[in-house]
Amino acid sequence: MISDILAYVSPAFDSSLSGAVSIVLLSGIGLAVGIVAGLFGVGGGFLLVPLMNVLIGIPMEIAAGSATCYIIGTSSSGVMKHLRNKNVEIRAALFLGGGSIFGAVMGDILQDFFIVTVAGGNRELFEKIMQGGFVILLALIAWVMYRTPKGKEGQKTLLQRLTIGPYVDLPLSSRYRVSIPGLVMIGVFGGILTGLMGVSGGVLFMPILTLGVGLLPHLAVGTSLAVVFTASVAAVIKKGISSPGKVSLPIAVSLLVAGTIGVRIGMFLASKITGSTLKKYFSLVAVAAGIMVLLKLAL
Amino acid sequence: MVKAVSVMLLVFVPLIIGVVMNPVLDTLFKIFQKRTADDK
Repeated sequence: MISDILAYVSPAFDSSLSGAVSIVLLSGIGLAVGIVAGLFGVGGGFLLVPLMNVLIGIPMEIAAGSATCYIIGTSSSGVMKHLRNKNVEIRAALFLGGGSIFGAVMGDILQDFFIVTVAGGNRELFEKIMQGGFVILLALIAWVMYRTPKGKEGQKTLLQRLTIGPYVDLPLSSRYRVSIPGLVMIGVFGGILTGLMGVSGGVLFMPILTLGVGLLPHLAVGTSLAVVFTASVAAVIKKGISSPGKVSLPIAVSLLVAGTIGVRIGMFLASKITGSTLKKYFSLVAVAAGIMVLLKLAL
Repeated sequence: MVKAVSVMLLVFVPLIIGVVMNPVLDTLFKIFQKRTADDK
């Protein structure tokens, strides 16, 4: 029974590297991504999956599944802290979270659809499709981080202008008559990103929650984390019950232990570096990762 | 049964690591920052 469980939580895959080398490399990747995450105040999940795939050769679906497991660990304590400090817009989080659970399940089903139907079981083609998706995602993230769009105060937000009811009031952010289907759709979008690509999408969530929904920045951080946590738990459960398993616990734990230490190093470095343009440098990191995936795709 | 236990492990192991490790590292980080400030 125990050997069956161990086999289930560490699915086998072909890799040119030995187990010990993989664990050391994974810890290195976790540490590096953690430092970047702490330095720029982002989750960094969107760097993990392409790095694991390109540098270690971990299949995309296992890299994505293990990254969702990693996200549970990185978001859990943040969610608790923000809930304690009342930094979560609970009503918005409920509808966003509900949508994200549905989206996470849909995302995993979509991943199976890409493997079986679109790629016809051809692993190489599926890897290329996912790598193409990551190039687009990284380019989008780089653009969002570079531009840092700003809204105009006092104006109705997109979800307040959306005339599809029913509506909900978000008193902590002083936003009234916000479209519930709009909130659910944003949650579905985030959930699909988690279930399909193994990324939390927090970087994209922030401008959507502040500009699209109208949440105050500190509430957007807490609410986004709560939604990311919900989506990652739903995705791990869905991926965990599918056969063959898509989540590797040893990979997730190696990344998590090293990544958590890396985040603190990054935060320490960030406290030494000041300047409002710091976030713009982050787009360079996303561009570099995008080029790396593009090269892998082309070769 | 194997699947149920495996899924529980996949959810709760990272959850526990995150909940335990982050506050411990936060405390260590604060001590380290205080010491570097004191040294200055």
